[in-house]
Amino acid sequence: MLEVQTLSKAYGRKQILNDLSFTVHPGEVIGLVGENGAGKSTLLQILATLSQPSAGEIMLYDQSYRTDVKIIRRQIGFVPQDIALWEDFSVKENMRFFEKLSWNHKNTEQLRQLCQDMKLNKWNETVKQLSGGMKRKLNIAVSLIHDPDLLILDEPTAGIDLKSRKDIASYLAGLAKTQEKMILYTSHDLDQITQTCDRIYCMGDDPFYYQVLQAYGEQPVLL
Amino acid sequence: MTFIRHSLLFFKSNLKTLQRKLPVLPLLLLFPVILVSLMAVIAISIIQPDEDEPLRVGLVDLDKSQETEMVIELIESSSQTGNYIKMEALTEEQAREQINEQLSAYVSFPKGFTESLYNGDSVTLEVTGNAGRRTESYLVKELLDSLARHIRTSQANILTIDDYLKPLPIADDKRKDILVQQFKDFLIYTAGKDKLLSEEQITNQATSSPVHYYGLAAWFIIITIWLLAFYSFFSNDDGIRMQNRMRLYGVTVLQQLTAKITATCLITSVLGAISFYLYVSIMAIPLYSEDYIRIALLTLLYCLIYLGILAMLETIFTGHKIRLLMQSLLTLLVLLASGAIIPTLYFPLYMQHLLPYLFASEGFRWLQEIILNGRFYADYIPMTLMLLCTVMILIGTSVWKERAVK
Amino acid sequence: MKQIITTRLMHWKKQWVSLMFWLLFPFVATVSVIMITDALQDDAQIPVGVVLKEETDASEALVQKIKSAPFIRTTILPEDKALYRLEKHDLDSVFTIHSNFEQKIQQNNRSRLITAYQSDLSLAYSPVKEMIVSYVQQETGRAKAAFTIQELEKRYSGQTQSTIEDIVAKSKTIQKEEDLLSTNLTFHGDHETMNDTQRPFNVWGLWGIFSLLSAMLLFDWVIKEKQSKAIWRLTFSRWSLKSYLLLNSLLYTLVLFMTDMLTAVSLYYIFGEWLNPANLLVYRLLICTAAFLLAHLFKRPFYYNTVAFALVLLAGIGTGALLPTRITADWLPDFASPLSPLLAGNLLSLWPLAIGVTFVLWLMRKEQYHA
Repeated sequence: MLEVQTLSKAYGRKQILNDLSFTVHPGEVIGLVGENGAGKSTLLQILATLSQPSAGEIMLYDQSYRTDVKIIRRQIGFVPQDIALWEDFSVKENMRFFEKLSWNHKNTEQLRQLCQDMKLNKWNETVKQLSGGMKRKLNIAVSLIHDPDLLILDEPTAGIDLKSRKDIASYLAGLAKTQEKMILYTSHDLDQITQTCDRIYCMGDDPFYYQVLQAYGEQPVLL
Repeated sequence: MTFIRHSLLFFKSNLKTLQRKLPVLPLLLLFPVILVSLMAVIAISIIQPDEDEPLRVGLVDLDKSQETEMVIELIESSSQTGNYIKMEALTEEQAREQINEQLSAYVSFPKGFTESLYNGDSVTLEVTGNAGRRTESYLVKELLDSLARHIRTSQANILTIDDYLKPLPIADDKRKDILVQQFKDFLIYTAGKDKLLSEEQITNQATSSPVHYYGLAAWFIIITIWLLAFYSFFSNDDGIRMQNRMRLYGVTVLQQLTAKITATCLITSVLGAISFYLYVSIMAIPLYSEDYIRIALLTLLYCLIYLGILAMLETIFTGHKIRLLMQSLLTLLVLLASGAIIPTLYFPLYMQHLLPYLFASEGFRWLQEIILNGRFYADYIPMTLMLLCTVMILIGTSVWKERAVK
Repeated sequence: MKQIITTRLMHWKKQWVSLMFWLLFPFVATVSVIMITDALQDDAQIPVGVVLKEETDASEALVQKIKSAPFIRTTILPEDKALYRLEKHDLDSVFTIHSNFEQKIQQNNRSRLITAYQSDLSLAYSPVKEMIVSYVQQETGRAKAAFTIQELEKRYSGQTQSTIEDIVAKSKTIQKEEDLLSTNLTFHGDHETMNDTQRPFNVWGLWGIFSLLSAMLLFDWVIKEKQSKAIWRLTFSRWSLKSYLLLNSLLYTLVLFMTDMLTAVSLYYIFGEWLNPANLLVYRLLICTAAFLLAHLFKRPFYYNTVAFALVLLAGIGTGALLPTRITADWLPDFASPLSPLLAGNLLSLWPLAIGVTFVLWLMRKEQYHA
């Protein structure tokens, strides 16, 4: 369980996040929407321990982000907006490379299975040769090597074809349901977010997204 | 027309880059100057040993015979006058103590040295150098080698005399005395070896003193390194995406290279002109206005050919590490071949035959003829032909490159 | 550590051409430079003009002797021409053999047999002069010996029995047979004898500079990987960025040091020059640490590599390692020379201390929160 209480973040005088509180339970998929600059990425960065909040408290299963960062990091999988992979390496090599650096051991068969679960079947091609959708899938797969409980994804489906988007969305949903993972992700693809997420948080001052989501028949939570 | 327009555009953007990174400019400017000064400092410290602080060499007599005492005394007294090497007799302990400090080296005359000389046995003079002053130690060794050559001749002569004396009715003691006397004679004879030669130094009154020569060489090296430095400065590692975008605008590799060559050439011309003016006025070299035109033409031809080859290397080698290596290597070869580091006069003969075909030595040679030898003529045709060849090959490689990248 | 090795090997597999090139570069460059300069030095000749004012056996013999010296290219020409060419620096020096040369030698009169001219640009005047003097001295010395013998014979047996020619011939044979006086240079502290054939470059000095370059260029991986998007994944791995960089540097250093040992053995076989492996290790650690630290100042490998070339050139000229002749930069105090840890095993000098202190500071620096 992830608990966020009265979280704030400011860069100098500029207040990015103001007094946020919410909770995520195991098995839930949470969507974050909002216009550019609303603070989605900042929030994800803080939840991924990559940035520190100015105020507030975050707990992941009784562990505090303030004191137990090292332990918490083992339970987090973060998928950045950029493709964080070695371009010259093949899919297999990327998986093996990060497996070596990770806390738990997985054999090549398990790694390959992980990719296949995401319908990523180009095992020996280098990242350079992969299509955009495949790259995104691998980007996610690498973040899953150490079996994190909390998966944070920053625009995991930006700029890719419909088929790959569907693959990714259904994989994430399945992951939450079968393995009791907590998943948080941002996207501008409202069709997909409304279909996949258990709950949707709306960020920023502009009510536009809120209204559109209501038109979808959803009940988004304003953060 | 588009070619010129595009080249001009990149030329301007290159100059803007320089403007943006103005703080780097002093570094670029000073770099070759520092290099050349370093070389000069080293060269001067080698060629002109400090006269106030002569090299001190110890002479250690382990033999303690009458003859070695004489030899040492003679060397000691002959090194007193004006020489920059000062030799002095020391005991072994003194020599060992001082070798880490003031002494450059010490020479030991081993036990039984004289005896061996008389008997014709093998003997070695040991030179112990100061590890902190290696260059000086080599100097001492060279000096001693020449001394040894003279001792060898004297030795042969004394042995010959001994040989001829043996059948004569002379008592052994008497003969020994004669030999010692002969040893002395030959020693003094050796010390006076410089008598057989009168020495004169010729100076070319007009100009070409070494200072002028090395001044010109330094200027030549400095502009060459400026060319390399500015050329590298204008090169960047624009990714493939940028190159693709350029290609969409119809910009060719050749246009970008032309712009880079022009920008580098322009900046170096300004700097080169300023530094050349300084050189000419400090050295007070008389030049006519036509000379300046000749010098400018020659320098321009040299710069363009050199930059053309740099550009060629840039198109051939894509990895920037290997490219830098090749360009540095080229620069080193160009400077060596020009004769700015070691005068071409000392090159092996087969290399001297090649020199007329090398732009660097041609350029530097004509510059010398005009500036140092007061010549009113220069042959531009060979260098112009070389420039044409360079341009042709550059066009060829850049076209090839454009095809290969696609 | 095992994981780090595996992951590094994966990188190396992709870059093996470049890696091999830069690993071998110092060795190949050192050997080629030395072999080429050795060959050139053997062929390099000092242009010397000789003016003959008499043509006798003695003067002819002297010319032959000068011509036979491997490092001299002799031209025989009239005096005015010779001096003109000397003035134009087409000749290094000019030697005029005066008339009555033979006669004077035979009369044991050796004053002003030859006039030597040098210009103010002559680089090789002294050795050539020394050679000519020692040869003429040999001839006059023999004449002197012959005169002495004849005189002694006259004094002790009342008549001269031997001819000058015989005595001179005898002296020549003796000198040929008993060429026994030699000199030997050693340096205080080390027990090795320096080679008599002097190279234009110091083998290990040259190698030191080339390996500085290759170490710098190889260490651009620090920039490439630090700037890559993939690297922040370390946050969610067992390794911190700092330990990842350190362990990988250690691996690079190890591989480089193994190459160094192979190089040392090869250089010993080729040139007979050995170096204390401890010095080699210290120097290797030093340059790798320096490259590692320097790389942290840059965001783009391109600028780093360009700066590396410039710095190496400065170091090479400054220490004299890249300059011909056996200059060992005496002007640079030993403690300030970056090569002194390699050549003299000087640990307590400027560079090891500076690099050591900077490295400790880098170690103590707090790691950024996210990486």
